[in-house]
Amino acid sequence: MSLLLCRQEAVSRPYYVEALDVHLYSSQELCYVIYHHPLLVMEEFVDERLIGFIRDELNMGNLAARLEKGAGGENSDELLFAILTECFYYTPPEISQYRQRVASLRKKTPAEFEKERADYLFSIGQYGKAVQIYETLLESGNKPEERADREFTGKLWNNLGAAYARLFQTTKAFQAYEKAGEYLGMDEPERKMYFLAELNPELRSRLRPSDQEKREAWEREAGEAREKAAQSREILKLEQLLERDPEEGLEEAAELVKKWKREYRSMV
Amino acid sequence: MEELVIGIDLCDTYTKISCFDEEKAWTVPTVICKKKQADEWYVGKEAYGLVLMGTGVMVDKLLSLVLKDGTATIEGVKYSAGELLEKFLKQVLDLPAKEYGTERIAQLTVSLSRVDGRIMDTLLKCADGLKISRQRIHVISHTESFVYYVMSQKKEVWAMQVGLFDLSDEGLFYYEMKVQRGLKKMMVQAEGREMEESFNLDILENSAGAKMGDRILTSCGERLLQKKLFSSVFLTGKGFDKLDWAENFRRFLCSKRKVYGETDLFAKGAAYHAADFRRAKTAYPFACICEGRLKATVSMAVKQKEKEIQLVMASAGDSWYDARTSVELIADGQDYVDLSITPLDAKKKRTVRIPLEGFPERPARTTRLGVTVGFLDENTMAVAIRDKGFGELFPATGAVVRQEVQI
Repeated sequence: MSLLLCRQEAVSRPYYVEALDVHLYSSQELCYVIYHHPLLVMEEFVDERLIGFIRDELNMGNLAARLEKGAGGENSDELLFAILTECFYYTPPEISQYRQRVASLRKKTPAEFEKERADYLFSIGQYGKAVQIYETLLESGNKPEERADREFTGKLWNNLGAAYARLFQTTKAFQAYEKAGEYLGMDEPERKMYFLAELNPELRSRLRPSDQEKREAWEREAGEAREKAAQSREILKLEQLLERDPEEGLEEAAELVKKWKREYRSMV
Repeated sequence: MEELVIGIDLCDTYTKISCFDEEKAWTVPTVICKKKQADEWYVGKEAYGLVLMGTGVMVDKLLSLVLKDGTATIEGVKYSAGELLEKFLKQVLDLPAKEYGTERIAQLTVSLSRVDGRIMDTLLKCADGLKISRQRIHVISHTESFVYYVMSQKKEVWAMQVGLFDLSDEGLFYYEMKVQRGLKKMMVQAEGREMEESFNLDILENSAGAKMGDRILTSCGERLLQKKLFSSVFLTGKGFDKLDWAENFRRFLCSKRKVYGETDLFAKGAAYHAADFRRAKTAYPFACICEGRLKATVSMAVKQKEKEIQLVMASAGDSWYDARTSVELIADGQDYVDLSITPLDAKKKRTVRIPLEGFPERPARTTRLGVTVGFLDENTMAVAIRDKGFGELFPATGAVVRQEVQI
């Protein structure tokens, strides 16, 4: 437990991290992003723009010069370690732990690494970027039909389906789950396809026949999900407001839609 | 003279003005007079002249007026105490300006009998009105003026204790200072107080009153100066302009110690203080512990580049009015801030813990704290700790903790 004395950093032009949709205003925030999101920073993160930010805004000329020298070199991870070391936000033991994490990620095959990166983007709500990576992997993944590869490909289709579903692109999601079913078996994809068809009735005709018991269970599940959504605090608050003061309620609704739009744009 | 370096001794009844390195000094009553039916303002003899002729309206005790946030209505116009003080200071500053042919003020130090936040604030506002940069105006106590005056004399004057009696219409005051050497930094400790035995200077007009005054001072002197070694004692104030009434007191003082009379001691001390701001390196390399100055150092244990250091927020000897420090810290797993308060007697060091109540819970090292330390007077520290968040990753909530701490 302690208090860290911050460097005086009069940042007037913050550094924008697109993957996280955040602006960084200090060396500590930069270190935080590097440390907590290794999968976002291990590929081409240290570029001219970042070096410019470190030099001009953080006023860390020596570090910027060191990064400039190393940029484009073979071991780009060392540049990340250099940033962490020079900013003194993390302790040496923490930096060495980070080194190990990065090293273990580097041990993965390029395809596994990319999938991991896409899964991470998915986990932080960056569905559009995740879709791009899954599709690139699937396009370049015409591998021999080995069992391990089949499973890997199946997971890629499944995750692609999930990402499209989060983007409300139901038809594409449906198609991806169909493909996932081909590789992983239909049990789980079928259930998700059913839910997609609930959202987009045009897809109903494409559903495969399945037994009555399963359908009833899914139907119940979908009903419960609808119920839960209707009980969300935001919606209840809006409904109450619409009842009390329709004009103000409509304004609130417009704000909410605006917020959802903003959120959606940041996902794409 | 291209620019003026001025010291002002500003009291409720009188004001003295002195310029650095100049013998000439002015004394004017602290009153301002407006000429009737004209936007003309006067001080000193001219002011009294106008009042005697019935063509002027006078306001006196300007500092008391500021302290009670008062106003004065002259010819139907209400003036705040600050406005009147500004007009007074303008007239007062004209005296050296006319004498030395320049209005440009390089540095100005105002010495007050008692350093009060309201008067200091008002003086800064006056400086704005008089177009004097706030960086060029300083406010110190009489005690500090005394220190600067003495420390500008030869070393033998301050080799041991130095005493000062100030007798004026404001009362009888006694000040004492001592230089402590052999420390990392030389330190001057000084204090002053108003004596209960104060008497009105009017009693000195008759011989019985003068004898009583002499007796009072002699008894004060014996009580205050005994059992201590003094290298010098100073006398200042209107009461000591003549000393023929204080024969016994004079005899007592002059045995075993040197005695100096200086009518404008506080104004000159203020001018020495002002002049020091013009130097690249101070001529007074000491910490001054006296009225208006902090008597303890306030610090925090923080980590910088993996090393633990004591971050000093305010040092003993700093002017409490100017001592204001803000830093940004990142809380690493702790929900409080500890401030160490170290008085001159380091054995009395203590720690004050301020819990960060109402601050949001976040992962370690993602709460930036804006810690500001200021002082309401020389004994009361005001601490404000703000949640400044962690950029857009963990936005600030606006939570703030405020605490007053006696130091």
